[in-house]
Amino acid sequence: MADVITVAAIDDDRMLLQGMGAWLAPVPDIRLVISVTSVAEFERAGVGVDVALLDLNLRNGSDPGDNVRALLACGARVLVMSVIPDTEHVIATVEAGASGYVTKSNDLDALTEAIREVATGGSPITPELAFALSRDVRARRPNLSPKETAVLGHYAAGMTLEAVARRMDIAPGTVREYLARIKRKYEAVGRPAYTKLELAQRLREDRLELDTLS
Amino acid sequence: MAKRTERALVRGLAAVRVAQFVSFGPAALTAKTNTYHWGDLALWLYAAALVWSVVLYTHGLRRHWFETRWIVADVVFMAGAAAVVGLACLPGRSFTWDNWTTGPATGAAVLAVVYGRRWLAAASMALLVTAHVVATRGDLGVPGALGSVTAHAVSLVGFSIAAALMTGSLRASARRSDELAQVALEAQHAESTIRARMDERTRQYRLLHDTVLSTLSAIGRGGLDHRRQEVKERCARDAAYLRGLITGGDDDAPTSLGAALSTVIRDQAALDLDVQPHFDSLPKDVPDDVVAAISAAVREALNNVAKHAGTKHAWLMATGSADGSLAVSVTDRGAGVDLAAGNGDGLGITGSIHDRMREIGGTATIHSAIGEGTTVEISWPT
Repeated sequence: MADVITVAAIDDDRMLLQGMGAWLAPVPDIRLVISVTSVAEFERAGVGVDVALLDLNLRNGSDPGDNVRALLACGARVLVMSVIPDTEHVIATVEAGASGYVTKSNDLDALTEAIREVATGGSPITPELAFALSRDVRARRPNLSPKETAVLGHYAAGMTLEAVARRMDIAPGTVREYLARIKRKYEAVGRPAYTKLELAQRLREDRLELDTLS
Repeated sequence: MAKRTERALVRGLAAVRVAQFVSFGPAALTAKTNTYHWGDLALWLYAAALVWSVVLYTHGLRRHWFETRWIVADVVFMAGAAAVVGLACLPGRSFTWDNWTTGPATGAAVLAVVYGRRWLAAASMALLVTAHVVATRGDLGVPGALGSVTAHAVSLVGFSIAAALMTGSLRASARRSDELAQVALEAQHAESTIRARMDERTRQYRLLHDTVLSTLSAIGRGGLDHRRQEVKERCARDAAYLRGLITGGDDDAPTSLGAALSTVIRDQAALDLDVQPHFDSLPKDVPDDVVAAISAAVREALNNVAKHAGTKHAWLMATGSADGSLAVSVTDRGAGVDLAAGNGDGLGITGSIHDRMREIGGTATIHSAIGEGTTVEISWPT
C-alpha cells in the first residue's frame, strides 16, 4: 500500500474526469481514488489522498488560491493542472502552497512523473511553471537575483538542468538549487510569518503602519 | 494643394511682371518722345531691369518661392530705377509713359507683400512710393501731374493690399484642403488596417473551421469512434493548435505571430512531435515578412528535432518585450549534437535558419551538447 500513491482528481468536466481514470488505470503505482467536480465536494467526501490534481480554473468561480489552501488543510499535496497557463492564477496557486503545476496535455509520462515527485514531498518546477513565474510582472513579485532570473528563463524554454548548467557555466546541482530557492521565495509570499523573529518583524511593521496612520 | 497654389501664384506674378514691362514698348513707340537726360541711361536701365526680372522669375518659378534677399534686391533695384529714371525724364514728362518704372515698381511692392514679412512689405511700399514721389517732385507744378503721381502711389499701395488679401485667402483655402486631404488619408489608412485585421480574423476562423470545428462535428454526428488512433491524433493536433492560438496575446484577439506559430505546432503534431507552446506578450504589429520568416525558421528547427533528436517532445517559447522586440526559442531534451565537431552544419541550422533571420534583420543561435538536447534561439530585431 505504501508503494501506491493515492490521487484525487478535481475537475468540473465530468468527461475529463472519466478520461483521467482510464488514462491513469495502466499506471501501477498511482491510483485514482476519487473524482469530484469541486473542492467542497472533495471536503464532504472526507477521503484522504496523497496528491490532489486540481483544475486551475473551476467553473464554479472559486478562487484558485483558496482551493489550494482548502486541499492543503485536508492533508493533500496539490498538483495544479490547466489547459491554458494563465500566469496570474498559476502564480496564485504557487503562493498558496501548491507543489507544482502542469499543463493538461497528452503526455502521460510527464504527469505521472510530477505526481510521484509531489507525493514524495518534492516540488517539481515544470517548464510550464517556470514560464509562468518568468513572466511575472506584478509589482509585488518576489525579488529574484539576476542569476535566478536567467536560470528561470532558460528552464522555461524547456532546457534540461544540464543544458541550463552548461549554458550558465555552473553545476547542474546549483541550477536545481536556484529553482528550489525561487519556488521557496514564491511560497514565502503567501505564507504567514512562522518564526519568532519573523513575527517580531511583522509586529514592528504593523506598529509602524499604525503610527503613521494615527 | 498648397504646393500647386504657390506654383500658380509665381506664374501669375511672372505674367503681371511681363505685362508691366511690355506696356512701355507701344507707349514709347507711339509717343516718340523717349529722349532723356544723361543719354540713353534710362533705356539701358530698362534693359537691365528686364534682364533682372527674367533672372528673378527664373529663380522664383524654380523654387515656387522668393526668399527675403531676392525681394530686397528687387525692391532696391526698382526704387533706384524709379528715382534715376524719374529724374532722367525731360521736364514735365516724369509722370507720363516716359517713366517706365511705375509698373515694375508696383510689381516689386506686390512681390514684397506676397512673399515678405509684414515689416518688409511695409518698408518696400514706403521706399517705392518715396522714390517715385522724389523723382517726380520737379514736375508737380505741371497741370495734372499731382493727380497722376498720387494715382500712381495709391495704386501701388492698393494693388499690394489687394494682392495680400487674395494670396492670403488662396493660401488659407489650400491649407484647409490639405488638412482635409490628410484627414481623408488617415481615415483611409485606419480603414485598411481594420480590414487587414478582419482578414486575419477571417483566415483564423477558416482555419478553426477546417480543424477543430470539423473534428468536433464529425465526432458529434456519431458513428466515429474517438478511441481510434487516427481520431485521437487528430484531436491532439487540433488541441495543440487551439492552445497556441488562445495564449500569448495581450487581449483575447489572437496575434498573427501566435496564429502562425500555432499552425506550425499543429503541423508538427501531425508528424508526431508534441510541442508545448509558451507564448506571452506577443506584439500585434509584427510585419508579415517577419512573421513568415520566424514561422519558417521555427518549422525548420522543429523538423530538426523530429528528425535528429530522438524525442517526441519540444518546447516553443515566444515572448515580446515592451520595445517591440521578439525572443523565440525551440528547445528539445533529446540527443543533442556536438557543435564543436561541426555537426550543426549538417542539421540545416546554419543554412536556412540563419539566412531567414538575417534577411529580416534578426539573429539565430544554436546551443547543444551530446545528451543534453538542443536550443535554437531566435531574436528580432538583432
